[in-house]
Amino acid sequence: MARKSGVVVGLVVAVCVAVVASLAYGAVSIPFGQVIDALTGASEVSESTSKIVLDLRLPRSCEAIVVGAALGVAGALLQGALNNPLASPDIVGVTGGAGFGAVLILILFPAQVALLPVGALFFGLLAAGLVFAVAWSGANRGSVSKLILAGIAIGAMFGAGTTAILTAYPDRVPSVLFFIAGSLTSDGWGDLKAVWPYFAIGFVLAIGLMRPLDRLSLGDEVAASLGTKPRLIRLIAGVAAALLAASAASLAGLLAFLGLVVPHFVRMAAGTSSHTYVVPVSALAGATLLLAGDTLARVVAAPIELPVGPFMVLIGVPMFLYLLRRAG
Amino acid sequence: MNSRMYPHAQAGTPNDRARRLTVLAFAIALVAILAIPFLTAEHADAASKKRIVALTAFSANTLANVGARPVAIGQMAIGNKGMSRRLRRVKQLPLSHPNGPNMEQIATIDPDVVLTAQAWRKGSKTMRDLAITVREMDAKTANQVPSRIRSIGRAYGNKRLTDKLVKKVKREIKYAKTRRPIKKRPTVLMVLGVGRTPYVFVSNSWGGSIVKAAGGRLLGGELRDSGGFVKVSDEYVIQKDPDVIIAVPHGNASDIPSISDHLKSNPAWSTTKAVKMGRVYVTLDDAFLQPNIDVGHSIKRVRTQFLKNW
Repeated sequence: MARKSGVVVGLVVAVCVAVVASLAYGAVSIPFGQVIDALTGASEVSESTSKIVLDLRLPRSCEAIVVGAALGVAGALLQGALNNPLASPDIVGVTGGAGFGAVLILILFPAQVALLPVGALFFGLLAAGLVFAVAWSGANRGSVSKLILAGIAIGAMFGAGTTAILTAYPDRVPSVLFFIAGSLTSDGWGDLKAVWPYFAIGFVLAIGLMRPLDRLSLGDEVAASLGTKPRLIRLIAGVAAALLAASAASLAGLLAFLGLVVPHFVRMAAGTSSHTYVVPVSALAGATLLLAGDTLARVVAAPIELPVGPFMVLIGVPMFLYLLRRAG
Repeated sequence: MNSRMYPHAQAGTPNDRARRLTVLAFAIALVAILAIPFLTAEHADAASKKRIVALTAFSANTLANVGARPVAIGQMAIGNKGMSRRLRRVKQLPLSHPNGPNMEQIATIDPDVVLTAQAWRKGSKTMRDLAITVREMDAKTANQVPSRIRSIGRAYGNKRLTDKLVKKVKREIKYAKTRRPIKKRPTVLMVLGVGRTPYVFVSNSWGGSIVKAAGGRLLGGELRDSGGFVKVSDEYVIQKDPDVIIAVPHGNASDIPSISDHLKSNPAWSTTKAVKMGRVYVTLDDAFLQPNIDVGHSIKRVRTQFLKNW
């Protein structure tokens, strides 16, 4: 119990520190007092400082928290629902679909770039829909292995489409590099406003799924004897994970690593696999990791911005490997 | 022979002798003038006999203007726009990352020399393995254009035509820079592409060098990157507050209005002087993306259309 509480307290402290760092540091050096003044609306703050803090850093920090939490939760839901430690948003085709949607907009319809989040979200959900349609049809419908195989096939299909577009327009490839490598942007609140309902539905579904997933972890037969419908739970968990992962991809590009690693990190650190613990704490851990990675990506080579994906890996992997070694 | 009978057969009067010497000197001079191109063309002929493939617009246009005809050129994304008429019937090779041309096509053409660029460097090793001389001779900045033209021309073209082209380009650059003195030096943000991660042209980029030659103070001018473009923080853009934003996106001419609107509505840029003053320009001109020999026109165009300091 103390170990679990310790992990929660540690993550709460870490996320607070990450939020402060994200607001305080950037390409432009702003004294922390002025950051506070800008946040509280003090009149003596310059227009540019106010703009940087309120319109760039604050929405970006919020995006990092929401996206990190969504990916952590999506990974926890899928790993629980499929009873597979390698499950991540990739597995339901979301990453491949969202990547295809983004590349389609950025390369073929650059004038419609404002539709990028919507395009990534649409194709992410479309890919997941196809995976579920295949997995829940024909013989052995709703089985874990069928869902995983369908996910791999549909993901490969969208991946091939992405590669085809990139190959056809090699001169335009730089436009999509940051999306593919994973990167938050400073586009203000607009993108978050466009996709927040999908996040909200995903998080609400995740909250409702925590206890059924615990029952599902006892095995399908035991879960059924306790009144849980395993296939239905699996489907709802898949839909929730798809909503969260597609929304996350629409804002921050392809960061599937986070969805894979964060739930394992939480389980190993706290020593429990209970979904009532792992799902919310994965949200906290995902938010912390992405926020810290994004701050590093913004300041390491400032004013040049780097993609967040590699930095997240840089922070997350050593901690993950340490815990993996300890867990034996 | 009796000189009295044939007065005109004599050695001649001093006047005649002078006239003959003049005619002789004139004839020698004429022969010499006519012979010069043949004598000096010996080296050029040897060079022009080489089978050259020019993968870049810069090298292809240079060769076309110095009397050398490449056996093939790289297919430009912009089609034939900006390419010399002399290259219209030359075979075009499609280019793709990261090798550049298809190596089987190159092997079939069997060139002696391939003039390539940094972007296609990965394919250079394979071409060298095919016993092809591979050279990167493009100008990297506007200032390098005359010297690089001279290098290509001296190696593969006609010396006289090369010198003539170098003089012309130098004259055009000088005209664009000094015909009307640069009085205003606005801060310029030049971005490549659109989307959520526009890249900024830095000082060692081709487009950046044109802006600097036109009198602009390039935002990001202190930054360097081997590719010439970096993604800079929007905070930095706000802090530097550019007077002018020039975007070179991908897309079609019909996309320009919507791309322009998108850039102006970028919340990170909306407080900049460029947006407030309506000085956000969108151009699809490839002249800012890759080196070309008509750099003087590009500089003048930046001054007249974007920097307004002409």
